[in-house]
Amino acid sequence: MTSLIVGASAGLGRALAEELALRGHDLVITGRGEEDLAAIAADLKLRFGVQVWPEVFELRPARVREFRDQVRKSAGKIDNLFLISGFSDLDRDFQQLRTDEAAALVDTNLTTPLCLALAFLDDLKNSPQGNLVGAGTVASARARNSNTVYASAKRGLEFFFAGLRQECAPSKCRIQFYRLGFMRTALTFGQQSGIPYADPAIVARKIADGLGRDIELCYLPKFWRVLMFVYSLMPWFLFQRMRRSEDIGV
Amino acid sequence: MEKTFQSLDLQSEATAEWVKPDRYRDLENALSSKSKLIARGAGVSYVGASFGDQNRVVDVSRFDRILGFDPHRSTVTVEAGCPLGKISQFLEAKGWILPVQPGYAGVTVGGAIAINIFGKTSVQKGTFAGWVESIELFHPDHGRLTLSRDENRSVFDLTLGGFGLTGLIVAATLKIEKPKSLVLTKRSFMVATIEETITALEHAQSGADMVLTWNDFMKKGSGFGRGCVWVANWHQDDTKEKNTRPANFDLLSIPKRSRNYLNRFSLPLINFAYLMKRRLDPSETTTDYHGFSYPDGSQALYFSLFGKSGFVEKQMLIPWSGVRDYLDELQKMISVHAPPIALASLKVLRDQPRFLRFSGNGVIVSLDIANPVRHGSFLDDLDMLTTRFRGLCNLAKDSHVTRSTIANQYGEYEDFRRDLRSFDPKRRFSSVLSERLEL
Repeated sequence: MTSLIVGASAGLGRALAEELALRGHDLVITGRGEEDLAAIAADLKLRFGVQVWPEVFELRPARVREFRDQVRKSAGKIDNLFLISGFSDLDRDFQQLRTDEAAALVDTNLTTPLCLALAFLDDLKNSPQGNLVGAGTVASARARNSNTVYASAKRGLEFFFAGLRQECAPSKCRIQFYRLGFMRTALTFGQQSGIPYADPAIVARKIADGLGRDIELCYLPKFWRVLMFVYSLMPWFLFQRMRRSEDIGV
Repeated sequence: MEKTFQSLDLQSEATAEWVKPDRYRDLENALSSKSKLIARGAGVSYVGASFGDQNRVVDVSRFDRILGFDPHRSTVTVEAGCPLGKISQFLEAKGWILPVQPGYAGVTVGGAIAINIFGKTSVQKGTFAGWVESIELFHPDHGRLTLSRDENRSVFDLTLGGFGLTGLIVAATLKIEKPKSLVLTKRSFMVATIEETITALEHAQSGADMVLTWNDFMKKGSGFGRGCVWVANWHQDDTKEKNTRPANFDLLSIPKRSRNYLNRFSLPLINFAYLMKRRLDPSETTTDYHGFSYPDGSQALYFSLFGKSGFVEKQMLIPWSGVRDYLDELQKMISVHAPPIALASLKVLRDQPRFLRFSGNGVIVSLDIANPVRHGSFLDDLDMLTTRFRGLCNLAKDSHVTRSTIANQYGEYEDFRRDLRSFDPKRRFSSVLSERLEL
């Protein structure tokens, strides 16, 4: 079984690569850092005896087909696609973002993963055990004035995955989409929050456990479901007071 | 983020900026700061070697991957943040070992090189420095450098046991060994005096693959130094039962206790109980190398019993020629000062000294002293005694030792300082340890 992880050089993507290697998957790992990918590939090959192809690729919608051809050439057809990569600018939103920066956020978080899913969809549908896994964010549970462009893009990706689920229903390809909460990664290092940060290795294990299942939407860690349910029911007169300075900082 | 760091012995504390990159580009960016820098691995140094006041502490624990394994050249290449326990497990599955391992599996390769650790195999295998084939070092003013005995030799020598002051170790290639089996035959026997211990160590020098002792230094009179000696040899066949024990526990998660439970009243009782327990041990048993190298989580309980006042570990390397007289004098000194010695242990070391590395030929005497602030005069006298016997104090363990003592004991102290300044005139890397010893 061959799995492609988009965004594997650090954080959850790296943890997922390790978890899947432990379960015997051959891997195509992609990201921007050549040295990071090479190190991960060497480590997983040595420790788990799986095949790993590191593919350095600056992913943009226009280059997705070229990327697919490169993956097919090195690893053949894939069985699982994990769209983990994402990017958010926690400090800036709305008019603080230049137009090209806002467009880049949408490209990274929506357009590129969407195009990747389309590019590999035939491989996944034809696989006897295909899976397409998407990573969203708890920030898209309810729109507010923080991280909005990022969360909008992720919400768009959610919508796309919901449609894909119906599209793939007749095939053996299973669709899973996760809204991810805070994790202990380099991005969140040093941040303080009353809400616990999850270990990426544990989240990766849960995602790997979900393979083969049909999951329209699942929060990880699961306590976020309760939290965001309450958050989404909050009446407007209270919610409007929770502007950026007082919000929960998702 | 800003964080207040403490050394494991609780004698050093400093507030510093803590960064923890997980990508190479972020690692190099982290080192572009104008602040003083220091690398941090597991963060379990006894002294303040992995943090400095107002420094930028660059945590490399996310760089923990195994990059290469070459059985033909007998080497393994790993990133600096890779814990030795992880490498050990990887190698042992293939029948190989790291010949030098400390007593804690979480110690990282970068830390092991910077501190020049040794373990239970010190009698035959010396210290970690002897098993490092090459190092990849990053220094903000020099960029990436490959160091080995053939390339950048002078910086290689400075970096082995150089306390991380030459730059950030990115990766290293280590020499490994394939023993006859991964099983050890471990013999233990009781000794009634310190003299018997020394005799046992002399005998073990030639025939043992590993040797260490536990001694009761709280016992007064003729029984001073009674205890137990463990001698281990590689077993000839690999089919003996293995006693694999869990090796992974987190020393930094030690529960904090405010009171010190290890004092001159409790320690004789604890030592007596420990001695009785050892008497019940079988005289010969088999164990696997991993389990023998890395003890279980009881270590964490031990450290917590020192309470808020912490402890000081005095670790001295005494040349064979003077070791009996040294221990005689030490016994007298202990009877005068009555320090609470929570642990006394002896090992044998055989290695080449260089710069500030704790190496040479002789007996290593390790003492953990509780409540060190109250026993400063004993510690001062001990340093003088060690200097008088041409011994060395281990800088990596000892928060008490001073610059003047080190300058007297280590003949190449000034050479180290001079060469370090020649390589790095701005002295970009520093720590509490380096500031205290004016390195």
